[in-house]
Amino acid sequence: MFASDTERRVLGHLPVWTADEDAFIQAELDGGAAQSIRSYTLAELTARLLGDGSIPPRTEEQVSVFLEGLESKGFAENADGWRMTEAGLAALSEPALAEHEQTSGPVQIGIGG
Amino acid sequence: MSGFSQAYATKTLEHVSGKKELAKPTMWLALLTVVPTNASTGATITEATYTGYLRKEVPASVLNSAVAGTPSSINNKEAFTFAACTGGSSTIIAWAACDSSETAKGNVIMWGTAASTVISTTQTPASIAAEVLSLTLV
Repeated sequence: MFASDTERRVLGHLPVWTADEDAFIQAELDGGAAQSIRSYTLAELTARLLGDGSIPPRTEEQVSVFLEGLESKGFAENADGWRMTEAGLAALSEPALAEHEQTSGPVQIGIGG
Repeated sequence: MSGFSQAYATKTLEHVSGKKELAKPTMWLALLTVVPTNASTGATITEATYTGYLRKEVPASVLNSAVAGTPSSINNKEAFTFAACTGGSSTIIAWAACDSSETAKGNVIMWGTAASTVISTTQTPASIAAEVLSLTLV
């Protein structure tokens, strides 16, 4: 499904797909936001990814390759900026590891990664 | 990567400037499969969906005092553990500190990224070690 963890995380940084775009935007405005962010330009997304410690620093050209890969899978689309698709959100919900790849027992979450 | 939501940034500015009192919230930590934005609310974040998932209370009693620095920060002095996963799985890549215990409710106070972590019926329960949850302010 995902070629790498970085590919998963690039998709995870795109504005989430929602079935009701108007209601989503209104919920964020009602919650006190000045503006709901519903897409990113390549430059905006590249800058955002630089803040994610779990992704090695990437150039716009490199991020573009990830986005084109996600677009070819139907997980992202570029319509006045990059955003997640319904299939992309579904993919993020799929298991990332087969059961035999997992470690049995408690798991610690690394914050700030 | 972490930061205040726009909602709490404005509340904080009004509080420290004496403009308006900010009621002391109880923080509930949400585990996310999509990274939020500063505009996100408790209703628009994308939370884990595994069976048994609940936001985890982070009471003030488990936090250390804030430490001055660049950035200044406050972290958890005790580890805390989420409810066990009894079905399904989720890959966590981010977190949000919310002011409501209920999934899909309330405001986001702060948010940030997390290392990609699979929570499943095999890898459970999920926990956050002491002094790992660090809330920062430049």
